[in-house]
Amino acid sequence: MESNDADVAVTDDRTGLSDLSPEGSVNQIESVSAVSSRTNGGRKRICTSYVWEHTRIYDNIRDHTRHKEQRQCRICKKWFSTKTNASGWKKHLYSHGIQDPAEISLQDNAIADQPGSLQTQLYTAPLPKEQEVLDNAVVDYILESMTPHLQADKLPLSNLLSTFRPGYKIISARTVGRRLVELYAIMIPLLTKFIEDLPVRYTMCIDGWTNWHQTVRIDISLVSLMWICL
Amino acid sequence: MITIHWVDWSSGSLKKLLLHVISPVPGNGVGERVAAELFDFLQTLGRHVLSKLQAIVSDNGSDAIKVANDLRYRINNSLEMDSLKESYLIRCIDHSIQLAVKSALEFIKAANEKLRELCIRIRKSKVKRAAYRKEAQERRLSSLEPPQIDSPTRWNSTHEMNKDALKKKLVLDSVAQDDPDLQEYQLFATDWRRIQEIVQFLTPIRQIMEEGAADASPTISMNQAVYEYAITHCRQVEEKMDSSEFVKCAASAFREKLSSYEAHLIAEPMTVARYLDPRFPKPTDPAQLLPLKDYIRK
Repeated sequence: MESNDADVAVTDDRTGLSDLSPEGSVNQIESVSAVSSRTNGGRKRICTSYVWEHTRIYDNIRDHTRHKEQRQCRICKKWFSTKTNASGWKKHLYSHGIQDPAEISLQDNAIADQPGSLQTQLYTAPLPKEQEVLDNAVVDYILESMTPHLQADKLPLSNLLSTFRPGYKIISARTVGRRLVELYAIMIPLLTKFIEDLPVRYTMCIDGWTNWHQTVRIDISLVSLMWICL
Repeated sequence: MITIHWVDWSSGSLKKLLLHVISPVPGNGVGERVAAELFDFLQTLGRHVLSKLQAIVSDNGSDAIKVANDLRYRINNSLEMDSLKESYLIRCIDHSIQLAVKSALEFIKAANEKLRELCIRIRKSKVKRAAYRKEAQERRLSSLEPPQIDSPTRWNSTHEMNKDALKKKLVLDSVAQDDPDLQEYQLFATDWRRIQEIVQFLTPIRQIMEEGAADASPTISMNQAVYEYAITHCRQVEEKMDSSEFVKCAASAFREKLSSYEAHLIAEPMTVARYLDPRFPKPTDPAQLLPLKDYIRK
């Protein structure tokens, strides 16, 4: 039945909360995954696929008459037709490293372990497990040092890494970009947990300005605030 | 762009993280669109994150105010409770003072325009600048350069330009009188007197704003103190017998403009913050102290 999942009708354009359940459920997962939709016959039903929590429908206020009859990916912000079904979205989300949670649990995590002596490993291409460790280290370095991810395609970094580990070929900037997006998807639930567990509340600072090209720039900062009770 | 900043308690270091990027379409209703997208993002983080929002601080920009109001409305509707009170939408004291000063500077707008144009023309032309330097040397001024031009969005630069021009008044007048191109920009004695009065009026306000700048760790606890100081200063100028009618009007305009933001500058969060800030003395009168403590406990 997933093939018709995308034939959603926007029930609440004014609030921009069309992807909430009509009952106004407060639970985030419930509210996002349980999208209200109507079939051609007018029958109301709930879309249950995990893909809908990563997408949102066109909203009259926010999207300013652009992208009508389209649905946006929350990760890469690209717009797709509302006719795209759950399978199509699944394929797209897979490119962001997002998979069906049910399928992930069934996947075999065992990676072929091919032990070898340190001498043989050093001047040959890394084995898959070592390659993964090195790739992760590159992504961590780019993330922590706030280095532009395009540096991965530049010669100096490539030379540095191949000096430290002969035989290792650095991953492309495109791959690094994709991995960063994957990390973002992992980080958001962790951050939510962090804010929930904070014993203090936070404030929001808003500032906005336009640049010479008349592009709107809004900066919003969430700052944790110590709220002391005497 | 949505970022999050917090202090890591274990190391004491400041942490920051980019959360989300918003690209609103320019045009009418930017505030509404940003608020919708911001609310949408916060909602995906969960109800607990929404309910933990304590206050919203913004400047006096109409879009920022619209975002704050709209967001407050959406959050309260979503949580079905008055989670974020209206008094918790806090304005920046610096921006409010800037607007109040602007209304006071309106009184010397014509004189400032002439002065600005005069300085620009002297600075641009090599011949005029050389004449200025020669005149300044003859009058034994320590600085041979004409006053710096101000920036329209920084009132202390206008104050500095006026202050500097008052010191170099004789040189500027002499250069403007001798040069036929500059004669139309020569300031009259009335203009100089008015500039001097406004400079004197704004000097204490500038001083307190500079003392509370980034080096002094400005916090919302300073809002009330700065506001009260500015209002008291205006009242003193208005009530002073030897103040001219002109500066009294300017002080009155300043006070009225700043008072219009009172509700956003002095509210519950600022009162609590001031009490908790060790830089400010606690009220000694039990009649003031007890209600405040009760309020904070509540």
